[in-house]
Amino acid sequence: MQHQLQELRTEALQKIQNCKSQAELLETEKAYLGKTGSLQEILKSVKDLSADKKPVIGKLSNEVKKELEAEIELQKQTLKKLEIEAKLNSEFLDVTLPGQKPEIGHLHLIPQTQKEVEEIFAELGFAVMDGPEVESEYYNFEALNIPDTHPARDMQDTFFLDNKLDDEHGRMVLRTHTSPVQIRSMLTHGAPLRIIAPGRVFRYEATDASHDAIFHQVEGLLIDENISLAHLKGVMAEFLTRLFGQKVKVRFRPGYFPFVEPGLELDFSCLLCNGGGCRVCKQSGWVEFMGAGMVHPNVLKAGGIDSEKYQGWAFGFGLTRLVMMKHKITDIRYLMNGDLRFINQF
Amino acid sequence: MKLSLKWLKEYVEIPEHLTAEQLGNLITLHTAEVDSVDNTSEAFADMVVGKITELKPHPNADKLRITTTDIGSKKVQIVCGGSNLYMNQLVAIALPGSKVKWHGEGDLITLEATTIRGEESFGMICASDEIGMGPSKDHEIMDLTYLELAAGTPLDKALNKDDILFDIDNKAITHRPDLWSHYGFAREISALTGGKLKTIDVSEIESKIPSKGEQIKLKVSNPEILKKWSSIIVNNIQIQESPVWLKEKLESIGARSVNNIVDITNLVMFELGQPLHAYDKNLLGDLNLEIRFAKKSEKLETLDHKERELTEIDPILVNSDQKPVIILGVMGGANSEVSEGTTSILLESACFDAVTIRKSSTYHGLRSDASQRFEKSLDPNQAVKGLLRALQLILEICPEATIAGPITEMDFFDKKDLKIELDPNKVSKYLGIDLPESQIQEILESLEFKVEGKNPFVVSIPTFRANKDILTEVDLIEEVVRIYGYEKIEELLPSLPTKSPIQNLARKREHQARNVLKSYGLSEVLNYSFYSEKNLKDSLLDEKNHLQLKNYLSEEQTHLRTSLVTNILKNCAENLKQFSEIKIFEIGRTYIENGQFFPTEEDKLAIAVTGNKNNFAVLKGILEGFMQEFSQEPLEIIVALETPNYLHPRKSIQITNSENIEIGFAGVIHPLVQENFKLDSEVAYAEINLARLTHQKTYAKQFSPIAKFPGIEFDLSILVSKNVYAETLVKTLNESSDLIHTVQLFDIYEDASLGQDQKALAFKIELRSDERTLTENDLAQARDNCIANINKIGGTIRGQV
Repeated sequence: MQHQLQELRTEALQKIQNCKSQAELLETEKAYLGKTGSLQEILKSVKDLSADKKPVIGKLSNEVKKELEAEIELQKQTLKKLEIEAKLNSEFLDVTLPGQKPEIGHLHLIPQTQKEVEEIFAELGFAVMDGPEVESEYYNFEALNIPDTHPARDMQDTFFLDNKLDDEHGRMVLRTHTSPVQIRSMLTHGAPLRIIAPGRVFRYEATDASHDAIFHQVEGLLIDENISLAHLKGVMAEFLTRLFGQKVKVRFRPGYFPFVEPGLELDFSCLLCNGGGCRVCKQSGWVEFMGAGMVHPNVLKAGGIDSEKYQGWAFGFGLTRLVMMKHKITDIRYLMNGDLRFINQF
Repeated sequence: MKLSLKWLKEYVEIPEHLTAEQLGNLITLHTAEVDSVDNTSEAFADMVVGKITELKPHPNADKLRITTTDIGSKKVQIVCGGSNLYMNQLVAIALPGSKVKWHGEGDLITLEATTIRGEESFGMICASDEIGMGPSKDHEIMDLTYLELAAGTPLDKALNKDDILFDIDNKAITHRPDLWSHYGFAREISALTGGKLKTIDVSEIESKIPSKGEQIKLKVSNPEILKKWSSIIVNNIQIQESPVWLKEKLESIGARSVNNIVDITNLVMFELGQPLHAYDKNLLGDLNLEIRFAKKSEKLETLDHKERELTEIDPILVNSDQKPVIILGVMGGANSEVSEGTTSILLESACFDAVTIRKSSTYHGLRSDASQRFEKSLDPNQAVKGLLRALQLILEICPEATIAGPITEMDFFDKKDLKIELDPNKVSKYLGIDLPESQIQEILESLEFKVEGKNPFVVSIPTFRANKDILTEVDLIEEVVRIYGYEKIEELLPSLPTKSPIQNLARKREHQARNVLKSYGLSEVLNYSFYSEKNLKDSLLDEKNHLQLKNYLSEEQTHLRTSLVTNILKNCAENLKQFSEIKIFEIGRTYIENGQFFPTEEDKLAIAVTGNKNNFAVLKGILEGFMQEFSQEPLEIIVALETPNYLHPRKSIQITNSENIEIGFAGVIHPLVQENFKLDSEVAYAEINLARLTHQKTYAKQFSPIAKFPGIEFDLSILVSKNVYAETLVKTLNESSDLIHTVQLFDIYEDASLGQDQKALAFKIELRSDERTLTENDLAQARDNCIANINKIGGTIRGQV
C-alpha cells in the first residue's frame, strides 16, 4: 500500500504540473483528491489494514494529500499568472491618442511673469506698489530730476492729455515709465523703503516688431541707511537666478538716467552661452537688461526723504522685453492684440 | 558716433598690450557703450597696390585688355575692362580670395583666379566702388599713381584703411558734452589706461593774430541764444579739394569731404568737439551783423537747399539788410555758403544755448552734427581754441591765406570756477567697498579734476566737465566709481527688513481672480488703454467721461478707455474668425474724467463669452462660481434696473454687495453694439470693479453640522407665463414650508403645446429636519403648501387637474 501511495504521488504531481488550464487543473484535482478520487479510494482501504500499519499509512496518505494540495495551489498561481500575461499580451490601448483635455484657460504672459517677479521680490522683502497710469508732469519728470528742457518732455516721446493743466503739476501725461511710483511711495511710506512697482507705461513711438506704444516695466527701489551698489548687484543676481532657475551673473556699466547718480546699465550673463559669446548676445556674453543707479539726492528730496541719512538704489526693467526674451517672441505686437492663437500657446 | 583708433592715437599713447577689443571693452565698462569695434583692414584683405608693367589688347574682346601687373611678390596677368589704364600706373589689385562688389553693386563676392574669354586673369583691377571707396566715374579703375608706393604694398595701408573704428552709442554720451570728439575720448582713454595725453598746441597761430584790422560788428539782441561768440576773418582763400590726408581722415569716420575750408571746420569738430561755421564773407554785406530770434514771416534756404519757414524759436544771424544767413548752431544758409568762388571767409566758433538749439533743430527736423553737439551743452571755453585750431589748419593748407583782423569775442556766461566738496567716506558707502582716500584722489586727478583739502575734498571741476555733467557731490562719486570699476563691486544681499513688507491686497486678489478664471477655461487678453471716437460711439459709451490725448499715434487711439468693453469686443470679432467658441477676460485700468485734475483710475475685470448656445448662462455660471471663490462676502446678483448702454436692457443683471454697492454688471451685448462691431455671434459681457471687490470685508466661512436625519424630496413641474423669473418661483417655493432645505431647478421646457407664452419649469424640492425623520405626511403637507402658493402667483402644476 505504501508503494501504491508513492506511485500515486509521483503520477499526480506530474499530472498537476502538466496542467495547461484552470479547468484541466480542476479535473486533475477532482481525479485525485475528490470524493471519488484515487487518493480517496486508497484511503478507503486503510480501515482494512493491520493496527500497526494503520498509523503509518494514514500518516503517509495525509502527507501525500497535503503535498498534492500545495502543488495544485502552486500550479493555480502559475496558471493564473500565465493567463494574465496572455490577456495583457492580447490587449491593446492606443496610448498615443491625445488626452482628454480638461477645460483650462490660458493666462497672459505679461501678468503671469509679473506675478513670478512679484513673488521673487516678495521673498526678498520687497512690497508691491501701484501708481496711476495717467500722471502729472511733476511726478513723471520734475520730481525725478528730469528738467523741462530734457528731450523726454517733448511731444515726440510722450503722450499728453488734452485740456489738462495744473499750476503745481504741469500738464498731464501717460506715464512714460514706472518711476513716478518711486516718488509716490516715498511720500506715502517714507524711509526705509523696499518696493517694486510693475505696471504699464506709454511711449509716443511708432509701432514695429520691437516697439509698442504700450509696454510693461518693473520699477524697484531700496532705501535705507547703508544701501550700496553691492546690494543692487546682490539682489539682481539673486532675482535673475531665481527667475531663470540657473545661476546668473550680472555686471554694471556706466549709464545715464537723470534720476540716479551714479547711473548704470545692468547686463546679465547670456543664458544660452553662459557668457562665452553667441549669436543671441552678439558675441559679448552679456545681455542688456536694465537701467539702475543710486537714487539722486534731488529725487529723495522730492520724496521727502532726508538724503543725509538715507541712500539707496532704484532700477527699472522692461517686463515686456523679459517676457519676449524668455519665450523667444519675435514680435511685440502679439502681446497686446488679443489674438487667442498666440495667447493659448502659453 | 564713430571714432578712429589712428586718430585717437594722435592725442593719446595707448598701451601696446591692449587689443582693440580690449580697449573697446574698457570704454564700454567705464565710460560709454561701444556698439561695435570694426577692423577696417578686413575689407581689404588680399588686396595690394599693383603696378602695370605690360598692356596689350585682348585677342577675343574689344573692350578688354590684358595687363601684366607687378604685385610685389611676382608679376601676374590680369584682364581688365577699364579704359583709363596706362603703363606704370599704380592700381588697386584684388587678388583671388578677396571680397569685392562686382561693378559696385550687389553683395560682396569672393574672387577666384579665372579665365576671361580664353585669357587667364589672376584677380581684378578695381574701381573705387568695387572696394567700398566711394563712387567711381563710369566704373573707371582707381588710379593710385599719386601715392608713389611700391608694388605689393597692402591696400589697407596704402589707402590708410589699416584702422579700427569704434562705434559709440550716442545715447550713452548724451550727458557728456566733452565726449563728442576724438580728443574727448583720448582724454578718457588716458584716464582709463594711464596713457600719456598730448596737447593740441595752438600758441604759435595765436601769436600771429593781428591786434587790428578787419572784423565784424555784432549786435546781440537776444543774448539767451548764446554763451560765447568768437569769429575771425580770413582773406586770400582758395577753395579747393582737400588734400588726401584730410579727405581720408574725414572719410575714415564716414564723413563726406566737401572742400578744404568746410573739411577743416568738420575736422576740428570731430577732433575737439567744437562745431564751426565758415561764411563767404563777401556775401554777408557790410559785416554789421545781428543775432536774434527769427520772426514768423522770415525764410531761409539752408545748405541742404531746402526753403525753411522760420519761427520765433529759431536763433539766427542776420546781415545789415535784416536777411537771415544761418540758423545758428543748426545749419548755414545757402546765401552765404562757401563755394568755389569764395575768396574770404568769416569763421565762426561759438557756443549756443543747448535748449534753444534743440528746440529749433527739432522743429525743423534737422539734426546736424553741429546741433547734435550744441544741444548737449558744450563748454563755452573751448570756442576760441577751436577757432585757432581751424586757423592753424587753414594756413597749413592754404599758405597764402591772410588773417584779416583780430578775433571778435563776446561772452555771455559765468566764468567762475566750479568747486564741489566730496566726502571720501560717502564714496565707500555708495560702493559698498572701502576705497582709500589716496585712490579717490588719484582717480579724480586722472580726469583732470584738482583735489584740495582733506575730508571733505574740495574738488575743482575742469571747464569741459562743468556745464551740466558735474554739478554735485554724487556726480563726483560717479566719476570715481566708474573709473575704479563697477566690476569690482561684490554681490551682497541686504539684510531682511525688520518691518514686514506693506501688503498689496488688490494685487493678491487680482492674481487670485486670474487663477480662478483660468480654471474655468477662460483665456486672458491684454488690450491698449485707448480707442477711437468711433469705437466709443459704437459701444454706446458716454463721450463726456473720456480723457483725450493731445498727441496720438493714430485716429484709432484718441480716447482713454472708460470701459474694457470696446477693445474686448474687437477681440471677440477678430477671434471669431478663428474660433467658434470664445471665453476671454481682461484685467485692466479704466480712466474716468471726474472734474478734478487726476482722473479716477480703477482696475476692472471684464469677461466676454460668445459662440456658445447660451452665452448668458455660461457667463452667469462663471460669475456665480467666481463670486463664490473670490469674494469673501456674499454678493447679490439682481435683475438690473439700470445697465450700461452697451448691454441689452432686458437681458442684464447687476451685482451688488450686502451694503447695496454696485460691484459690477453683466448681460447680453446690445444688438446695436453687436452690429457695430460686426459680431456674427451674440456676446455676453460682464465688467466687475476689482477695486470695490477687493475692499469687501473678509470673513471666514462657518461650519454647519452634517445632517443627522435623511431628507426626503419631491418634484414639481410648474407651468407659468414666459416672463416670470425663475427666481420668483424659487422664492415662493422656499417660503412655502420651514422644512424646505433646497429648491433646485432641473429642467426648463418650452413648447407650443404648453400654450402661448408659457413655459414649464421643473424643480426638485428637498425637505429636511434637524430633529426627526420626516414622514409621508410632512411631504404631502409641504407639497400642498407649495402648490397653493404657486397657484397664488398664477402658476399651475403640470399633470394636476
